Amino acid sequence: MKHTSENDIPELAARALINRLFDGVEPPHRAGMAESSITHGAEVSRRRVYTVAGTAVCVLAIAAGAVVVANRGADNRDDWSLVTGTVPPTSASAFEDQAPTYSDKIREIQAELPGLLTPLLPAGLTVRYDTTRQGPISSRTGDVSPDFMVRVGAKDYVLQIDADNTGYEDAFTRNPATVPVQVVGGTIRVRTLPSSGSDDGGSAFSTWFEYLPADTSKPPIRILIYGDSVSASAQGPLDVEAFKKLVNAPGFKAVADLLDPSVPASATAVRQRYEIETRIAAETAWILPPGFRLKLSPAIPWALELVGPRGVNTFGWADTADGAPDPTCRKATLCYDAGSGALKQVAPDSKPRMGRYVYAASDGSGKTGYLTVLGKPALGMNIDPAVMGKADAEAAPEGPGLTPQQAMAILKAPNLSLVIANVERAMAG
Amino acid sequence: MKPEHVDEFRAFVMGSQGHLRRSAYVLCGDWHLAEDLVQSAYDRVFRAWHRVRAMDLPDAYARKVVYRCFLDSKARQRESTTLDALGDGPTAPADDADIRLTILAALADLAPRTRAVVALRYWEDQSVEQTAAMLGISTGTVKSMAARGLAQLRERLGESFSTLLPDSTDIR
Repeated sequence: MKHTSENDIPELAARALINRLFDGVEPPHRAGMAESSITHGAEVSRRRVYTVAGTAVCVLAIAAGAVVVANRGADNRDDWSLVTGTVPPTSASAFEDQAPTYSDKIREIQAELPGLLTPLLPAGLTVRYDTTRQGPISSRTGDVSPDFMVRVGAKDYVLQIDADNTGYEDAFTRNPATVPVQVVGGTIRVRTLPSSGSDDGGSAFSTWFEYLPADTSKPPIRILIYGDSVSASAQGPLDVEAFKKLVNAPGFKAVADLLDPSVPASATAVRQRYEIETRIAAETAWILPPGFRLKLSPAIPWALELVGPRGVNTFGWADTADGAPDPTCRKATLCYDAGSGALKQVAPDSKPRMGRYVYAASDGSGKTGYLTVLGKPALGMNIDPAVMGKADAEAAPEGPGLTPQQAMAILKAPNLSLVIANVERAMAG
Repeated sequence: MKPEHVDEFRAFVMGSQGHLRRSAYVLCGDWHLAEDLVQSAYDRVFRAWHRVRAMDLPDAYARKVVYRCFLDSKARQRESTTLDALGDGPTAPADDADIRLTILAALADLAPRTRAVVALRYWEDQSVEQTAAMLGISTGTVKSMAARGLAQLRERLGESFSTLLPDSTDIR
């Protein structure tokens, strides 16, 4: 029998309660805890020794009237080693997003919408999220319109949740204009238009759905379904009557709440982000330079961010087996492109940079690695598409990028392909 | 430090990491922060390893450091971050993740020292005397904090309390 006292919790119940915290799967342990403490401890000891030794040297120098000339350092043009002794250990909470992010919300929509929407659709229609589809980003607002697939029999259509009302007014006002239909709590409009033709020469269609709540404080819901039509006349899998039933169904409120951008992502979604980031940390701890880690971008749902001591950078990486990337970049040399598209060989000058680093192996494998270390998410006509996203969703300062030595350490790491693949798998859930 | 002592430390971390990480998670409610806490504790333990390794129970010392690190960080920070910000109420939890969040949110509502007492008494199974020694407080304070902590948990969890216990819990 469970305890149900009104006043307190007996000790055994308290134990059982706390033990429930560990019912589920725990995230993997952070790698290299012992090594981090050993390095940190050694650094503390070294600083103590230097402090004592430095004091002794000063006393001797003053006594002898000596002039100390600073050592300007040796030429390091061929030194690709990383300076690790003075780098503080990576903090998993540095620049971490504690509150629900924009990307959490999109990931939650991608995960939850199929389960909420499918029961409201006519029998035989199912909605699923295809992890290979990202959905377009609005160039005006940075909002993502997440893509899903609707399956009817063996045929798939694209279902896109609209983020910025692109094309809807044009569709609804075409002659004859679409007349709104009254539904519970608002009105709907549905318009199917033929598209320019399918790949196999058949007819294609786009159907535009809109739900406008009577309560103007609530956001409209707009959905686009498009694909090749099964019949000669361009026709989609969902008509106005089916959409009306969908909106009138009791389960539609959960769909509306999920899609409402003013409702932040749930605590569960935040936890899932932490769990994904823990898996990514476990995969990348040994491949990233000391002081760096990867986290999920709060502004671009499918992007990574490189977190360093001074801030964050939008980060991407790839490892291909298609040989030399560019005739101007020789094998076994590190090349760099600041954004012009022209790769140039770069020396280990310890200067952090944003841009693209490329390294082609000379071991006969034909492998070429790419790192893109870019600025924070942004909007505008001239920005790199890789950083287009919800610009105000990332509050951390922008990092300076990676030095050639740091980039080289990542690109030359053994099993880079495997690490990249494992990170992608972790991100896909 | 001798290389064999460093190897001993590595083995110690390997063996103690799992439990310490869970203890830290009970305290702070976030796996990332829990690992930061454990990392800070290991940093301190390593610097004193020549003494700690000679102890009968180095695990107990490490646990003490984790709890002290947690209370130090709370003293500096005052406010907890993630769980307080998420602010889940005592609604009926639907699945394991919801159950975890509900329990963590209730724990997060306890004052840091009370949370430490509850964790030591009911997660670590430490006696009143051991808890008092570990936190540097009197046994009377431990008893009153433990009682107050449990009462607050009960109040915070409200009607959802009985649904949070495993079905096999048989407590009278």
